[in-house]
Amino acid sequence: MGESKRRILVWVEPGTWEACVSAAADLVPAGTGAQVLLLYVPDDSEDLLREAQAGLWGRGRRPRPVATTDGAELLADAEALLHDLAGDAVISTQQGSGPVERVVTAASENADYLVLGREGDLSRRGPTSLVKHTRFVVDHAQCRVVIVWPSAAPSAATIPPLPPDDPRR
Amino acid sequence: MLVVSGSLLILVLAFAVIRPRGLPEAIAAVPAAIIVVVVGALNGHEALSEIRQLLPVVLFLAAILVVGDLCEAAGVFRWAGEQMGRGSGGSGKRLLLLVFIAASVVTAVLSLDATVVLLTPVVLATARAVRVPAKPHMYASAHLANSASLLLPVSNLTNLLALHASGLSFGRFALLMVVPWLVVIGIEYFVMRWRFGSELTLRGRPVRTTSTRLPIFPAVVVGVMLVGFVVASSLGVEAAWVAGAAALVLAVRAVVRKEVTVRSLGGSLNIPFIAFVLGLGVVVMAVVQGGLGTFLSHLAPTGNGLVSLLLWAALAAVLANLVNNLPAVLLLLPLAAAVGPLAILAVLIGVNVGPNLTYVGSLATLLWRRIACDHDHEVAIGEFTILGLLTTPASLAAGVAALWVVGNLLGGT
Repeated sequence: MGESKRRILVWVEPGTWEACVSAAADLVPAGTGAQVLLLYVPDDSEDLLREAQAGLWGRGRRPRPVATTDGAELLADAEALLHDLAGDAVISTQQGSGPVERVVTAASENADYLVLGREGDLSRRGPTSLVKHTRFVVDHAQCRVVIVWPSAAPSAATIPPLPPDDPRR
Repeated sequence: MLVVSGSLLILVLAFAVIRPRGLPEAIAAVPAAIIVVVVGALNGHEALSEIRQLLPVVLFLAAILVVGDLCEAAGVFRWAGEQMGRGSGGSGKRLLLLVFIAASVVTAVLSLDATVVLLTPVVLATARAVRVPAKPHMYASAHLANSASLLLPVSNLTNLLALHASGLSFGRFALLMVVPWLVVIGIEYFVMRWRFGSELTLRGRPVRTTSTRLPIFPAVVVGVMLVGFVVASSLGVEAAWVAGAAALVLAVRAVVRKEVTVRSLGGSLNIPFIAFVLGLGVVVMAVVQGGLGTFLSHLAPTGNGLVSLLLWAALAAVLANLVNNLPAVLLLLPLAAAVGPLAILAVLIGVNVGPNLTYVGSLATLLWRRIACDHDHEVAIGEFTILGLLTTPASLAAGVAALWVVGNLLGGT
């Protein structure tokens, strides 16, 4: 094996993927390039749907398949954007399945960088800007984690002031 | 005798939840109904009169399910999905509002089954196409299938069962329930906007392509069917005939246009389901007559005051979670009917909104499924349950309060 390339994992999700891909492109070194894996994991909506239908007694119906693009289209768009922004990147895509936070954490074992987006409260800076699954990944990933605001970050004025009883005040 | 019929009821309910080898629920319910008559827990005449009372209700549901399926085959739901996707303009908040409108209308007109089976998959596909987190919209659709089923007698099987017992006309029922319906939907909307505030701020993309036009014919047939319900009710004709006629008209056209086959129509018309509800009704009747009715009558509130109505709804919601909404309404109707129409409508608010505590219709079903079914695809129950705890008690209380106000304003009930 020759000189190994930087390995970047991008967690592709609706709503944050463009900002994440753009951040990942910045991490691709000019010249040597990088291996970028775009990972999308669907949420458990299909399971919820099946359970809700099972709750209808006696109707004896088979759950209908959901006509979605199933992530393939989203991954293709992410790949196209990354290709435009970082021509040196060697891009692969993957659709995972299972508990999303575990799947992403497991994938981070083989990465140098993980890029993910804030999906929580985007109106102010603070811990609530990360949702539960993202929090899990940030806390458990072994690699460097880059956390991205999907649009312009809220102003620093949204950071609460020091509490009145803080001795450093 | 109560031990025999009670055990049989538990068996029928457990079978319906677990559905070993995917067998139809009727496999347990029909023999159980025969046994309660053979052992004398219920005499043959009473069993027959129960069946005669339930039959039009079940036939109605069978017909309306066919109407829903044919609307889907004609592209009504695809059209609704594209409208929601385009109308959202990529905004999660606007999509949620559109999902609320669609789910409320579909539930009220075509019954909760149509929302769960036909609309919710479209909502999921639309959220994915708009590229916003699907969860708030899925939860909204799942919740509204229950809580938006208050408006019309045809919105929920429980309503039709109650309509017979209440002596209300179709129009009167809707008049009494329209404000509770709006209040409950409003509470759901504000709780979801608050609870999913952050997920809903993420931007998606507008979906531009609208290739589908509103299928005019099925829309007109459904509209005529609604008017037909009101007219039929005033003439004393069963709603099942109207729904059956609508199903027939749509079916003939769909077969001619090769949108469906006669064979698939047979699948839509669900005979085992009819047998299941009839069998369940007979077994529940035996349990009520065997002593549970007397026991429940001690718990049952008297009078039409606000507190009584709230207690009725609470009792109904608890019972719906213990044994599911269908048996719950069958158990409570005879008692509530003795009090009056407002008590019956309060019971309906309880059995219709109460199931939102869980996504499978009752706590009992949830627990059974956790124990008995495959664990590969378990949904995380925490968030849905929290949402249920946030909306259900408030919806019950506010819905019943609205019913009480409307009932007193209109008088004569």
